[in-house]
Amino acid sequence: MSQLINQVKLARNLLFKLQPLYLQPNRELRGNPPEVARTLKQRLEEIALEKSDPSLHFKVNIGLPHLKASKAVENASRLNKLKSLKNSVDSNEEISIKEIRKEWLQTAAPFHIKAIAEHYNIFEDIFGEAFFLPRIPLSIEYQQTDGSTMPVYFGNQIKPNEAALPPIVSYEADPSSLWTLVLTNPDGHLSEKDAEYVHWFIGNIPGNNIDKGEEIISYLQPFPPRGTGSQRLIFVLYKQDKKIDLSSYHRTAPCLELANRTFHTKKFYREFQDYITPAGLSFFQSDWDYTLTDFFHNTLNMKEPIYEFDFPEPYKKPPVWFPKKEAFNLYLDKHRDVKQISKELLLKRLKTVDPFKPKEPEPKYPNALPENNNLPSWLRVEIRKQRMKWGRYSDM
Amino acid sequence: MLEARIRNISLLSSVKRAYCSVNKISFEGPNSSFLPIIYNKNPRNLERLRIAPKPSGYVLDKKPVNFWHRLVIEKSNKHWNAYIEHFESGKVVSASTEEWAIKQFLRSTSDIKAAATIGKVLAQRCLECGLLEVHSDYSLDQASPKIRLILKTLEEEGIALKEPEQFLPHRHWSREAKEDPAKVYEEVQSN
Repeated sequence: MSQLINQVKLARNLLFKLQPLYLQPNRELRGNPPEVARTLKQRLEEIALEKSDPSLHFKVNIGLPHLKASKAVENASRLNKLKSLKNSVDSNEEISIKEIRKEWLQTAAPFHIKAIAEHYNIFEDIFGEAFFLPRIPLSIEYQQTDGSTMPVYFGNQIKPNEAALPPIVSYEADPSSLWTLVLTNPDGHLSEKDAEYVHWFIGNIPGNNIDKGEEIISYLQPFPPRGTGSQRLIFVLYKQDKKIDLSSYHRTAPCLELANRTFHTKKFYREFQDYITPAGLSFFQSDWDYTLTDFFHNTLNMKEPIYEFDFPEPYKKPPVWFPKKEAFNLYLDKHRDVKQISKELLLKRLKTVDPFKPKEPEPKYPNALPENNNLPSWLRVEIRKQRMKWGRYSDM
Repeated sequence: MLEARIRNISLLSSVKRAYCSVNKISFEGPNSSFLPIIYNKNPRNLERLRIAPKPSGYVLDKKPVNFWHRLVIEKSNKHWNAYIEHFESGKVVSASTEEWAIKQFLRSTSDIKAAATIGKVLAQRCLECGLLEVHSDYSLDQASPKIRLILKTLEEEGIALKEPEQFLPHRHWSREAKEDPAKVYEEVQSN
């Protein structure tokens, strides 16, 4: 429409030559006024909403119910405490972070842990479209050889050699209740795409006595392969309603055949969902360290896989026979094989290096050296780049 | 849209080589087969490796969105709020004097002591959640004394208030030769 109006204006101006040729940009061309127009963020959100159907894709809470004292009872004690605090003399004592954390675990922690677990996409990757509020605070600590401990929180980094031995797990529980503890890794499966490895599985734990539970699958340390980055290792504590038979999951003690450790938390939960409820959550991240080479070779009896990040290919304009306004050498280089280029560079470099002579000192002002003026300009530029060690010439 | 890019394209890493130590020449155990491409589903992995796409933000915005994680400090008449925000997930880690766990130890929830406490608690929660580097729009010179105290406490506890730049893959025609952060990290580890 706006184009048509502009064309009419143009035709009128050409016909009558009334005004100098200037086209007033139309209202339509400028788009909606800022009060009406939506931002890019809003438009993207709308598109995302259209794609997901809220009647089909919604999250289900599968956790323990919230058993909270009534607001009146809770507030009464809190108000008393605040009043006594207001009347007290201001002291310069440091507030203990440990005590704050202890209180936090009793009050706001489930909501905060759920938020950070969603940030790490924990629930979606292990339970699909379900989530839970971790009502039972878990305390998990790895003992180190020097006597210190490495606690597991909600995404902190722990190296594989620090997690070599099974951790000490504790939580508050009634001695007559039964629990299951599972440690899985959803990121590190080496032979299947959407599967997890189970690193530790203890079922039918009476109270908080981990040692008395049945060890279904023995502990195996994390082994993120080199080059894959950090993997999540997730502890989930389930509360059992009754004693359950987990013999189908049982593996003999040092289960070192990785295929036998394939696990799907979603399937496991579906199978026992009438008797188990997820109650506690804790996870850490782990990435490759130098002890893993030995672990792969001697414990898992396999070659050590080394991975490299696969960057997406850059966009290149399709080559044409006669490129206009392009430097011919740069244009040809862009479409050449990268391996061939690096091979040529290596050969060039080896020509300059002599194993029996000491390395020649580098000139202080490399571009002040005399140039051969008979060479074409593109080659002289290339020589200058080489002298300055730009880009691909950086290790010449 | 950005997330789609992260999830579909960038999460794969392909096998470079597999090697064995010198004394044993071949392993023919049950574990010997593995996929040539594995997918690390951890959404924070690429941010740790500095290769996740980072939004560049709009220049004219007062606080442009040019971060993975950002520190936000809010002050109302009564309370202090500080939280870490992610450009997609929103509020991720938070500490506030409105929480009973913190409020019960404070005589006043808006004074300098409250600010220091908020700084400490937020730092501890960030360390627990593995967020060691956050972007901060506050400068130590221009911020108010209380905010400066929060920033200083965070730095003392070990949170870096500056995020590393996104690592872009090296192209053989580009002038800058950048080193891959993942590889540098591994070499330091093995020494």
